[in-house]
Amino acid sequence: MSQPILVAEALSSGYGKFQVLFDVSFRVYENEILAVVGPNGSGKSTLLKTVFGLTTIYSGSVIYRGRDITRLPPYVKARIGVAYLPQTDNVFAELTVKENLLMAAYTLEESEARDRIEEVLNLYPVLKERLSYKARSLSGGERQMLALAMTLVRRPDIIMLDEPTANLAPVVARHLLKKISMLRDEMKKTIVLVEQNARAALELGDRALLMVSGRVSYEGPSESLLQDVELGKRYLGLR
Amino acid sequence: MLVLPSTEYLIYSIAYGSSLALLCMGLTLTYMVTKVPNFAHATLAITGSAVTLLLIDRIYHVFYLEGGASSLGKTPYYTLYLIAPISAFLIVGLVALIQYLLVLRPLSSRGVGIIGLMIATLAFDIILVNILTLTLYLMPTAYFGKLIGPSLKGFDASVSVLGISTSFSRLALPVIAVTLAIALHLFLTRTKFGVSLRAAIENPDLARVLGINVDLAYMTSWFIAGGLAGASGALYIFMVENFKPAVASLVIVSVFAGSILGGLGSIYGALLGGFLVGVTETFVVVLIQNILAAYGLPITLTHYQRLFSLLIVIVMLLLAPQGLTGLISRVGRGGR
Amino acid sequence: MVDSLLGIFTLTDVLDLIIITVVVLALNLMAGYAGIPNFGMAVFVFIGAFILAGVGTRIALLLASYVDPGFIDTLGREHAFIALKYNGSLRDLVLYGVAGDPVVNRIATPRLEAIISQDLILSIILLIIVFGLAIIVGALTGIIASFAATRLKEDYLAIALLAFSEMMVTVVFDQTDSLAGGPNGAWVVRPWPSVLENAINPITPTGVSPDLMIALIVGLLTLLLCILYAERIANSPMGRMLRAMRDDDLAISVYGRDVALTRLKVMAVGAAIASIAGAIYATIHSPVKAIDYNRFDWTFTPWAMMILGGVANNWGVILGAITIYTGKRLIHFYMPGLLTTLTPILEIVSRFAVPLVLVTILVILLLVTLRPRAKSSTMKRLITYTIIGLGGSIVLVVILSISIKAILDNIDIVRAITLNIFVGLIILLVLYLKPQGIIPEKPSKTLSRKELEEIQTKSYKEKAPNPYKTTLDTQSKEV
Repeated sequence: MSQPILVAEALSSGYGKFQVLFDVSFRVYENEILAVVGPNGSGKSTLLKTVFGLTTIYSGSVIYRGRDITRLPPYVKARIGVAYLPQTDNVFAELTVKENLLMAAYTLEESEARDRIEEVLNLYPVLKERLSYKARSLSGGERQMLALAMTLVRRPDIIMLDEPTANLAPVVARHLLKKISMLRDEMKKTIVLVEQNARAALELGDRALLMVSGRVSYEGPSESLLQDVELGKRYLGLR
Repeated sequence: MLVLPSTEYLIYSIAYGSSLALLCMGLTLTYMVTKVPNFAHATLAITGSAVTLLLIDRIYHVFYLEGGASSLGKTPYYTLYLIAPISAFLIVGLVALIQYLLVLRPLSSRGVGIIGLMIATLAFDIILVNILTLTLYLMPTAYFGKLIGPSLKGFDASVSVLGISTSFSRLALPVIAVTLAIALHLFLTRTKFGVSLRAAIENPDLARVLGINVDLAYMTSWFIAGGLAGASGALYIFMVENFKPAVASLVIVSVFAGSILGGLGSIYGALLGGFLVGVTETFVVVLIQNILAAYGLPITLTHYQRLFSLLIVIVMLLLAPQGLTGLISRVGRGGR
Repeated sequence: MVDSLLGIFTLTDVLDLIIITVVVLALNLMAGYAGIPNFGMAVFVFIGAFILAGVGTRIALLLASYVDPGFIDTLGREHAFIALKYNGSLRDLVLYGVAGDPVVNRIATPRLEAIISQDLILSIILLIIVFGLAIIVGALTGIIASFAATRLKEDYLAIALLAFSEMMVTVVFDQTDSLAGGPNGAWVVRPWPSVLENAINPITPTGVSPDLMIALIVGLLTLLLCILYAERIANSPMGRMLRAMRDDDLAISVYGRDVALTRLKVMAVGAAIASIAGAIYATIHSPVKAIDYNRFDWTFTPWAMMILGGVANNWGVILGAITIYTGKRLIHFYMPGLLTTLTPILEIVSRFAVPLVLVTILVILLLVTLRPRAKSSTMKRLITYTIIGLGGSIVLVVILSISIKAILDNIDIVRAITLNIFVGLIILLVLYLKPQGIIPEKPSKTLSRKELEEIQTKSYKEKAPNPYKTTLDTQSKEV
């Protein structure tokens, strides 16, 4: 097994005085998809936000490639390769697709920006057709793809996705998940995937993290979690 | 017998509409950035007017008067119509930037809400107007006896176009307005920095994560908005009878009317709205007045010019607060 | 006039203070309790004044012609202005012509007043009609504003109310001569019966008109009633609920009609009170010109007084009113003297102006570079204040020293300007030093950390705000 590139140790965090995560520890290994599942309100989204630095951290730490990044501001984390893709407000609705990508490449040199945007458009050809459309006129699936594309422009190491398939039609959701698995397989990225649709996430993921009431209930191969009927029924709505 | 307003008046009306359009663009821009309507915006414009006033007083009066100190006559005087808006753009842009840095940004980060920020802009307006008045009062003049209350109409080069006699500022205003609008559009859509402004205004948190300097974006927006106001005011002064800084308090409502009419979320809407309000206040009012007169109802409506813009404000706010652009996009989306 | 109170307040000033305090209390009711950001306060005050000057004078004309039919004719013959608008028809006179010519009007109205006040019944009728109308129209306007509040969000509401006020005061009334005299204004027929004026005599100091005394007493009574009402609202459970729920939509939708109804009542009463205040003010400050009821004096200054005193705090706003008003009087009174005394000093300064400015700029630059290295945030704030203070004082000193002579020549204008700037600066200062002193509206994007935590606690279960929004705790210093 490869080295974990991200380690969370005893993270306790929340929003102001309202605690959501209690002593959460887990690891993310290189080039895997870690599926984070659990019932509503269990702290899955908060987990991602905490790693990225958008919550109040009471204690614990986040180590990324051996470096303690717990208190770094989000834009620095983005710069060093930790990407976070929230469910909404993840693109600039009033800007065109092209402009969105331009903004994603904001900190890059012009030639490099052009190359990377070209790269990313080849990954998602549907965006190529919509270059001059405003992001708000894109369909839900297209918008998520744009958000993903914008993340990829910055060549992140580890991408944390918060319920990317929410509100998408099943066909579109499947397509998106396929794209996500491509990120692991072809682009060798590391993914942390929070999903409400537990089955799809577990089938896609290599390892899984089960969150219940702000604590880690299970961390291990996702296959095993899928087959654990008890847990599946109780927490995940799996039949 | 219906008497149409003269072509000369039409030109005046278009010029006035253009000056309002510039002001509305700036107001909408600051609103989009700070979410607060800036009551001091018209005063910013008037500061630009003061720039022109001082330029004429100190420098250009020489070029204008026949037999003045310079034997070059009027020709160099025409540079005023370029120098004034440019200098006003820079100076007033700076003043607007100061308003953002010293008033709005600190108060906003201390948690003051919208109403409080509105009051703060009112306070800044009061202070700015009074400082301006004080300066104009006390500043030693080279030509004018007093810098408060002069009419600059006499200093507006008269020009004859296609047989219609008008003044140069009235021709210059629409040209400048269109030029600045196009320049702004190009800046906001074709330059990386300009696009980042739009991004920062729309979703500052996402922009920050992408490494965009949101604060710089906000400062630039305010500078530009102030610049637009200054440029507008620089030429607007030629259309005012009795110039004193307090004139701003009359204009601000028309500016609000234009921005609200256009929709406070769209700069292009502001351009349109401002122009429409300007033309309505002048040309349309006179037209209606003449129509009524033709039907035997001689009512003087020109005194009530501002009533129209005030009514526009109230009606739009109550019925269609998203303005014209809001209505248009709703119709557009209806087809989706 | 009689000097009283510290030698800077005349009795008229005292009346003005009483009136403005009533207005601020009314504003506090509307903005502080009913939660309506009333940027159009001026119009409510103006309504009372207009009713007195526009409607009241017309009614007085009607009443006078009833008692003394010859009066109109004599007036018409003697005074040209009425002839301009008086074609022999009293109806036309009432409908179209009240004022317009200040000189003639100044003569005509006292004659009218004399006729009315002699007759007790007539003056009581006039009194009731005028003040009654002021209350009713004022209240109605308040109710209209309250309805507008339900449809508009707060910044739009503020603009709408401002627009409405400007429309009414500076356009409609200022431009329409026949309503209330247009720009020249309309003179006021005071509705006090002569019986009252005689009764007042014993307590009237010498040199003071009985009208002023009456106005003072009526004003004080109004103030008292206003305080009583305002306190009742403040201490009632409804009042507390209003304050707490001012910006909480959810709670309002739960309690719904009760709250909306109370809000309506508070608005109506507040507006009526402001209207009465305006009427009383108008009895002394004749003629009533629209320009005297401008938004700076009657909307903006009351707001300054209210936020200085603390919103929704009745005694606070009274204190705020007194403070600012006294401040203005002090400046008005002492500024010329102060400048004259300082002249020699300022002249010395003006000679050293350039080096002085350069040194101060260097000091400011030094402070600016030192600031980021400051150890604590209080130190930082101290430095910021010092920078601002130094910067401000340079500007001030430079202006003063360069043109001290010009200032003294134009002392009236300069004084008026200083007063305005004074009010503006107070507002900014109060906002900066205690931002919570303002109406707590819907939370803005940046808040104090405490409020942020409270809100996020509340809203955690619902859809979160912008997902990239950070809480302040995890932000380390800029890398």
